[in-house]
Amino acid sequence: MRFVTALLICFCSSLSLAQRLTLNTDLYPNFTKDYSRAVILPFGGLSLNYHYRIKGQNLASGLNFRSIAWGNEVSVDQEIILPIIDGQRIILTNVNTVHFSYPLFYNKQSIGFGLSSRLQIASIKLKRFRFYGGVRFSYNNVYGEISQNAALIEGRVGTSFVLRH
Amino acid sequence: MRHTIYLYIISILVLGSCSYYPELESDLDSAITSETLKFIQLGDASRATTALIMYPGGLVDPLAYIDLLNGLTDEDRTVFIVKFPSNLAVIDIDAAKEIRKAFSEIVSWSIIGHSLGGAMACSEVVNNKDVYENLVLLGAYPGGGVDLTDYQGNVLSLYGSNDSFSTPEKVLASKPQFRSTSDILDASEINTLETASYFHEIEGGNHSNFGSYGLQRGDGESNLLKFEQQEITRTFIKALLDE
Repeated sequence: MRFVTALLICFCSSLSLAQRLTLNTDLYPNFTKDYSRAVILPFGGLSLNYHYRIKGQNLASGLNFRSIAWGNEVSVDQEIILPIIDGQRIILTNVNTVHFSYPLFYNKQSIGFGLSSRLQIASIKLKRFRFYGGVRFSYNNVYGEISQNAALIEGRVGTSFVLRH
Repeated sequence: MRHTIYLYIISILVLGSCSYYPELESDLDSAITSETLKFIQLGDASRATTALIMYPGGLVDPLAYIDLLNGLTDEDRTVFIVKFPSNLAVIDIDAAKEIRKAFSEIVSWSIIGHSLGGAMACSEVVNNKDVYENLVLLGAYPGGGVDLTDYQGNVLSLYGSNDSFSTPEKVLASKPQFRSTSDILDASEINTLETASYFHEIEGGNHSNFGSYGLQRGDGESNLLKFEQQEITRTFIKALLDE
């Protein structure tokens, strides 16, 4: 818990450096076989990212909170944003993320790990909104000691709203 | 300033959504028949004709109930522990419906819930009064608007004298919401009385020891060991289900 609080304080203080701030709402559809048939089980999440450039490369760092097979987790995300199409009507980018996650348990400390890749589209007319879809892999070593659902490959779809340009 | 408010909202979300990690004693490989993202199954459903569906307590990992429920399976009975998003039963109250639909060969269903899961199990029974033969509540009571007085199945409510969340006062105050209630001292009294809803106080028991996840913050200390409280709980549940 102290780790999470420290994480939040660090993130708050780093906000003053933010060039652009986005709030993302995520859905993570899991294509799982339950009850002898395929079902889609969506987990949800929320993340706050601040964007910056280093040596001409677009990067973003953020904090993500989401529901997952082991309850909830918070993660520190590092993104690299690669341009694909920079047109006059739309901008298409590929966003690749590394997630260093902290599963939220009162009585167990553990660190998880995740990777995700997504395509993000933005319209010039709707400057503040971006829509994206992709895949995410999540892993929690400690939960793997008791559960068969400690590694997940899932979809990731969502909307990104620009809070500050 | 606005961004700080967003962060405060996220902080409250994060800090208020920690779950309790299971502290188990059972051999999971032999106890669990199958585990998916939506349920954990104990026992063999291929031959079973009766089943018990478990709604876990709020923010408690569903695996924390394996120790308690493992001893309730037999050749004829299987147990399903439902997994809820964020470990909150309130998000998907009728999750049991999908299990019942998928295992249609099972002819007799009972439902059990701990804490918040118990309150949600009551709501599930209210919406499916003809489906469940038994309702078992562990340190739980129905929400204010839930009326089970016309539920024809049996109800067993077990609560610990040292429970600081579902206190004995709160559990006993829910009696008017059930049909034909009586307090019992021993499991052998089940089905020998002209009654339908049985209440039993586990002397020295607390809220947390119904599951295996350590001591919940704010709960009273138990005078019983965890396995003792769970053994008492199993004895009463068996007496109800075996009848």
